[in-house]
Amino acid sequence: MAAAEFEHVTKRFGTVTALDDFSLLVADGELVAVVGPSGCGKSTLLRITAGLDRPSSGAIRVGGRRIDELPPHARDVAMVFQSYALYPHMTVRDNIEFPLRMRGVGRSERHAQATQIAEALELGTLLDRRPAELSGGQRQRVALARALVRHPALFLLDEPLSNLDAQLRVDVRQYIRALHRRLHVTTLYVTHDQTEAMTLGDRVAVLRGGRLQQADTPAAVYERPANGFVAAFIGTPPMNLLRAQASADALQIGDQRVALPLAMRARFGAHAGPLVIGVRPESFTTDGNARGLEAVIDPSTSEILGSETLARGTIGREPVIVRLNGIVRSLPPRLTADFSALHLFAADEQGRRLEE
Amino acid sequence: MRRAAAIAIAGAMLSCAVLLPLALILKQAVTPDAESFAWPPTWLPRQPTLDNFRALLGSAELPYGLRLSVAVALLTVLSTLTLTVSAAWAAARVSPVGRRLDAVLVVVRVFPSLALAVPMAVLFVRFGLYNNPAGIGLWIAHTLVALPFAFFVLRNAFRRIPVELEEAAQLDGATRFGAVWRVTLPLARPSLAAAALLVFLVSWDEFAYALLLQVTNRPLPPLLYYFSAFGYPGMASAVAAIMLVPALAIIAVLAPAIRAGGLSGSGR
Amino acid sequence: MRRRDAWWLAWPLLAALLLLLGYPIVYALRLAFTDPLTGASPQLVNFSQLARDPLFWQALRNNALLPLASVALELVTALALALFLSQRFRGRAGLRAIVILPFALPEIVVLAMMRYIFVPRGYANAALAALGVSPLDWLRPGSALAWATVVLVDAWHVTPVVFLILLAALAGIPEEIGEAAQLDGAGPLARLWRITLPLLKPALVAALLLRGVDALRIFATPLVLTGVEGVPVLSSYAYHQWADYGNDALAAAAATVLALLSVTLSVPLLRLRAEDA
Repeated sequence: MAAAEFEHVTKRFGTVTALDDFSLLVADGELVAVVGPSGCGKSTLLRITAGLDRPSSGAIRVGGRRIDELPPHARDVAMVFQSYALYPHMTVRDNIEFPLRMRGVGRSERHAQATQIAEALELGTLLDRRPAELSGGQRQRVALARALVRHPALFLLDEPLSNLDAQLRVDVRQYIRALHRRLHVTTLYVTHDQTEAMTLGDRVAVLRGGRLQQADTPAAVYERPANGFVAAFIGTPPMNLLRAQASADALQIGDQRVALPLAMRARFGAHAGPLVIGVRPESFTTDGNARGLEAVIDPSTSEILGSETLARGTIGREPVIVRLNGIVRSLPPRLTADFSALHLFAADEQGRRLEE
Repeated sequence: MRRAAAIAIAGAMLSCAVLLPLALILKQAVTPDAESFAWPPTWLPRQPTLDNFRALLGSAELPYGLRLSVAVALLTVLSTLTLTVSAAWAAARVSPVGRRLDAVLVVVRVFPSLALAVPMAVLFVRFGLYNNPAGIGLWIAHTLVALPFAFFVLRNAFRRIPVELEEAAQLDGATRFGAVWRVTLPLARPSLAAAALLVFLVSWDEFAYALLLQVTNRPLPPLLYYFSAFGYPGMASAVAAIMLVPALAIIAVLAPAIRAGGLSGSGR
Repeated sequence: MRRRDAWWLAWPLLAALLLLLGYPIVYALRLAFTDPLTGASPQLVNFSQLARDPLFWQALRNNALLPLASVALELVTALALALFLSQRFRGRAGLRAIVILPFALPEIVVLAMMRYIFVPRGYANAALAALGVSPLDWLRPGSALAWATVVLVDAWHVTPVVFLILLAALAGIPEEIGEAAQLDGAGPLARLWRITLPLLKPALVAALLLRGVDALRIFATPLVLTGVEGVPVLSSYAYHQWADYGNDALAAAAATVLALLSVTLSVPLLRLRAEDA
């Protein structure tokens, strides 16, 4: 168990930069969920951390010790592969004991340690089976056991839930969370599913095109996304992003002109010109006192999910998605998102958050 | 860098082990016999010549042997494919039949050639097919030899063509036979061609039956043996060179198919 | 489609097999078990005559041992080659093509080539002489060296087949398993011994059986390299009896022994294929 530091880690494959100046400090015992769309560099990050690839530049430290020049087995890093990569010809016990065996741990000691971790992961009765005889969830626990039996300083998980079916995913998510609470291993958890990242991570690191967009607590990433990409990536349904023009006293969105109340003029006036306004679907309210952006709702688009109701509408002809709690059978024709619920982003490629 | 050097050395040694013998026989094909008999033998011909080939072309045996090899190979392609195609399709579509046929043909494939060549030779003497100038006897023997190869290639090919296509054709109004004729066979054309080439090669290369069944009317393989055993290194090597042309050409054409595993099961 | 219909489709093939395979086998059995002098049948006189011929016993012994040695050499070499050529490096495709080449060459061409290399005044001895080493009689009839040369040449010709089988099997092992082993602390040798080889076992067994049965048919290699009496095998012995002595019955008897060996060894091979299917 130790802290992990990534210092300006970069990886290039020919002309393609898979990881660009990635820097992050993972505290001892912290679980950081690394999330992003495919091709964002998260798998590359894992492989470099594990030692299966070398970085083009930069350094990685675990517990203060530089590991990026060491071979995989000397790094005290353990990994659970997406496909679990269990040794098909060995029993569960042999699979779990394998890393200990490679380290020269004696037979009785190996036996004891493997049994202990297997019991902790509820694999006690399966120790003599082969991977082919196990279910998906069981195989995953074997992969976890094999990784954890070494008490690694850093623990890497590569999309662990993607091979499981939907219902199992929810259960295993909880399981992994409880496991982490219990063991407190410093963990990097890679996923493309932002829900997983948000529910599991002490912190969430969002990657895009090899670059780190934001690394913060789930709440912070949700409430104060650092740029338009993070804003749209985190949250289901995603945040609505609207192109707008701000002037001293009004906002122009599409063909709708919204007059700014005095209290808001300073805030928006500071960014006069083109900008991008973000508003989360759940920010729309039926509250009559709300002052802000008004969306015209199309009642035929309502989707009743039980715990919530979604619908589509427009603000100044720009499409938006709105979300109301519970079952709403008759949608009001208009909904308002208060000014205070709006996020401001730059209108350029970066889409940086415009406020502190 | 050390790894790259080790790989390069291993690669070079491997290439030598494989290519050197080949290079030597090609060298001998263009070397006069006088030089071939000298000691120590030369590695590159001091007096390269085409005399060996000229002698071959002017000989009684080579033009005949070449025609015979080609004729028997072509006839074998015809007979083998005709006999196997419907069985291969049935084997691909109906598993129990396929399993039995597979077992039978594996036995044929591994059965010792001499164990059959001897009784065949005796029988052919009786029926007047022994040492047949047109190679009819040899054609019969080669058909047997080639059957397993053609069967495995064609069966694998038919397996890869989904039966749903035939079923769709039947729903569209074709008979079972019509579906196969119009849908499966055209799709199998590349494999049929591959099977034809493979059978040709098997017949072209075949030595044991040719040696036993054609004692004086020799196709190329026994002819090569005869020349080399009787001390004509130049002509023997020239025959070898001639034999290599279609052999390597066919392998070059079939190579992608080999890599795709389409020829697996034939052990070739 | 009903089974019966399928069998109908197979009848041209089956008829051909019956005629071309069945008839000669039956005829050979008849020849082998008939006394050529009296025409009486069934008789074991041919087999007892075989048993009295030391050359026959030599051939039988060689027919059992040569395949063993050859297949062992092929397996080891093919495994090394497959492991080597599974790694990623430039020129791999070219090297793979080169490795396959020996099997692409017609057998008689290979044998003629090798004969010119290994005869007393051949290239092998020329190379030795250039290195200052005295020449070897590679093909001396009856010598252990000739035996080894036959094994070597046969392995040279056939290794590519085993290589292809093992290469395909290696490709079937997911890369992530090797990576997991790396992370678990296994060095290259440990990975080979504990992960790769156990996972290759089915392919190795399949290759072993296929090549083992195939190797029993060995005929041209010892014949061309050393002559019938140099390194005799059952096939060349049968040929010798038929071609040089005109003794059909003895030839058929020797062929029968060979066929019996082959069929016996085919049984495990067939069973393996049936399991696979």
